[in-house]
Amino acid sequence: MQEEVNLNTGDPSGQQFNSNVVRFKDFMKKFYRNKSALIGGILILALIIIALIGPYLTPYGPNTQNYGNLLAPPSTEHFFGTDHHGRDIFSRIIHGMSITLRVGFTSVLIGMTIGVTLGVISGYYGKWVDTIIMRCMDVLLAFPGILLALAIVAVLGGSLNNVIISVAIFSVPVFARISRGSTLEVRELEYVEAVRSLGASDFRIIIRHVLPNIMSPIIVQATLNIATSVLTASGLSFLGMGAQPPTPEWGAMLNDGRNYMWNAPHITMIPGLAIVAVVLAFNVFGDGLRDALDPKSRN
Amino acid sequence: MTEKLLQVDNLKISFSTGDSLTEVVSDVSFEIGHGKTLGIVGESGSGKSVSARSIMQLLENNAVVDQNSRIRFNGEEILEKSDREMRKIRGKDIGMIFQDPMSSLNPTMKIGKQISETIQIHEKASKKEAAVRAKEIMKLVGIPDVEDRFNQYPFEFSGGMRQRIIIAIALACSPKLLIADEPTTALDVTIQAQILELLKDIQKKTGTSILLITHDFGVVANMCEEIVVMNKGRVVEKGTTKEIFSSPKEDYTKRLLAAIPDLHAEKTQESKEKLADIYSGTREKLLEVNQLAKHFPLGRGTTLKAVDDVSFDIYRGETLGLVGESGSGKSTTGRTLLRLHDATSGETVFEGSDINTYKKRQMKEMRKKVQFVFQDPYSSLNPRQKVKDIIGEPLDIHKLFANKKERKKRVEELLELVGLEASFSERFPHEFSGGQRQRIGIARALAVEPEFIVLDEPLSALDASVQATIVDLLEELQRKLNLTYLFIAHDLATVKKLSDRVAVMYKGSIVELTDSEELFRNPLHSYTKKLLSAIPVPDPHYEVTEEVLSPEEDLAVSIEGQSFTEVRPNHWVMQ
Repeated sequence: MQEEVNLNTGDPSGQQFNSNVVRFKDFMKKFYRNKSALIGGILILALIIIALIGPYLTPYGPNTQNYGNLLAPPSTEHFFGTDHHGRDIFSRIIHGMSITLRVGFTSVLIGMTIGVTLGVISGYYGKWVDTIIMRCMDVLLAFPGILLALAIVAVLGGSLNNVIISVAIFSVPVFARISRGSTLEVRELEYVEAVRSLGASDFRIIIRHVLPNIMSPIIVQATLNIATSVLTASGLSFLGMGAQPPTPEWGAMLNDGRNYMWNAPHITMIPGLAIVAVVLAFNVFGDGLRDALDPKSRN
Repeated sequence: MTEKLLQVDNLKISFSTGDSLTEVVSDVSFEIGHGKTLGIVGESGSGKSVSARSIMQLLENNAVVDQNSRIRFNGEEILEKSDREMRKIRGKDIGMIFQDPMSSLNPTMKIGKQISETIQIHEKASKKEAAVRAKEIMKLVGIPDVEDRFNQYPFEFSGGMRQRIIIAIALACSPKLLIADEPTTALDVTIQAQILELLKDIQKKTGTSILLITHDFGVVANMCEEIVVMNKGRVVEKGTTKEIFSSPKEDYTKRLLAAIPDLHAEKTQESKEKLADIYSGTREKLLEVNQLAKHFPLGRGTTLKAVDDVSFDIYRGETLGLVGESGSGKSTTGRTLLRLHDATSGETVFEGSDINTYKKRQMKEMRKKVQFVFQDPYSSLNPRQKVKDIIGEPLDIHKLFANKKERKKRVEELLELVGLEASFSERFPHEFSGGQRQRIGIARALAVEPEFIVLDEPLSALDASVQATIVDLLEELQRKLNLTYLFIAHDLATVKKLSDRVAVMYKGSIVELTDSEELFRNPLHSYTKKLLSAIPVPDPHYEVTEEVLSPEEDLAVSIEGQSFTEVRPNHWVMQ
């Protein structure tokens, strides 16, 4: 590791600089140099801004129908054209943005919280606790993600909230595995043993010493998982199991356009592209973040 | 021959970090004659390894060698060579021996193949010819049963044997120059002596020149004709070994030489009084270890007896040294003592009761009185915590302060106690050097005002000059705070300085226990004798005894069925 090289060994009057600033600067520098992370980050920021203020600026309401102008192709009046009810697709996409992001963020947040908790407990305590938790995770992992989500929504009933729950459940094992692995590594480090020899409780060790040191890979995974979640959620809505009409959810909009694919391809194309853009933004950002946070690639 | 084999002139190397260049080697010049040995001595960060790597052109991508630097090897300019030309030199004309024998060999390849591979590459030898040559070289480096071992994998060899294999690979094409970068740092002291002797022997037989890089003056003393002392990328002093040892000119060299612990130093009056107290029974017994054992299950019914039936007492205010080579169970003993591992059997009596029977609350109480300082100052501090939280943690756990102001004051006091500035409390561990970090580790251990501290190799990751300052600090703290230490180390020399009594551990048992002076003057157990005679002595005139050089397998001393008996007054030996 590069940072361990220190030329003035033993001299108690070390260098004078504020470490907080240095650490953050170091990260930002790597982040800036990493073009994909930067582009992804800017894209995500733009998406969030659109989701927040976009709905106030759209030319039409998301559900305003205009039967005089059905299946219109993109024009200056309707940027992305209109659908089979004469609704403005541009406005619907903008309104759908917040739904998409909400589904992505909340499902990952829930999945991450549960997954990390289980993973850390599993890795820290080991033995039978580990066996039980990880075998359950294996069972969950054995199902293809979308199939599992589909099954859960089928049981709970089709609604946006149930989509969030089902997507959260299927991302639990991924986080559990990652955090278990990292915990196993950190648990063996001397500073954890050092704190144990001070008389610290397990809870204290986990919260203050294990968690902060395993966060990097988890944050990266969370970012990448948002992309997957968005995709799965749209998939469920496309199948009619998620957001119900007339909600301007992108997956549902894809479904709406299915019957008009030949004469009005823009109805399916545009929500499709929107999904691709969001997924791509998070993927690119996550990859960049991984490089920037990886201590091995420092300097 | 007028020209030297290797001539390095004005070597200047910088590392580019981001947008700036940091000079790590400046104006370094040295030379090696045919069949000679040159030692480069320096502490970590002195640029000694970088200089050596530049000869092989094995520098990392961000290294920049200055245009005016010259490295002439065998009459040719190395720095002007292309990568393709360099490949022909590497391994053929210059062999390199690396520090860590555990990671320098390919674990999936038979060792015979690894040695003969080099011969095949450079000399276009057939597979058969190469194998014959490889076996010859294996014999040369002292690997027994060559025919059988030729087809074994690295994991079947011990650390010392692996280092011999690495030397064999480096020697495969009879290089004119052998670069040995800390070849014995990762090895136990008895094996170190053997490897050094092997290098000397090889030089006698093959006439190769050796560039030996090390931090240890003891290693160069009877290996090299000439020595270059480096510090912070510069050559501090150059000269023949005798000159450097008998009349060093520069302060830095003098400091390094002074930092070498003297094996023959007399113990202080204070220590003698302590010993008298202990032996007369007037000193309070702080800890009593009775037949402590720690076995680790290895699966399939086998167990590793890391610590087996160990008994000793520790008296208040004394330092008990616990010495042994890697795998002797000394660290496990220290950890089991404090219940960082649970003991398999036996008891540790502290304040009248056995620690192993303590419940959770009693354990927490005990952790306030008994502390641990770890070996590696890099991994024993949480990299994401500020110093004030690292040192403050024990205060938080045991609620040893009334308010934030008091906590802050206490942390600053502790920092000053270990010789650091109070303002350091706002920084993160990575901003400190190894020695400073170890001071932070010690401050953390002191925060709860303990009575007893287990020091688990607290010096082994530090440079010699830093080691000396930490030893001084530990002694000062002991006097000031009336601390009791269990000092675990693999290095007898440092143990001698700090300890009142010393216990020698071997294969999970204590084989000898007595006061440190007696141990050095009159070692009784054959293992202790070997350990003592293997210490590299920083004296160019010193000759290694035959005993040390007996093959590794013969080193094994059987302690089966022996018992610990008091041979002389207060001198216990396993026999």
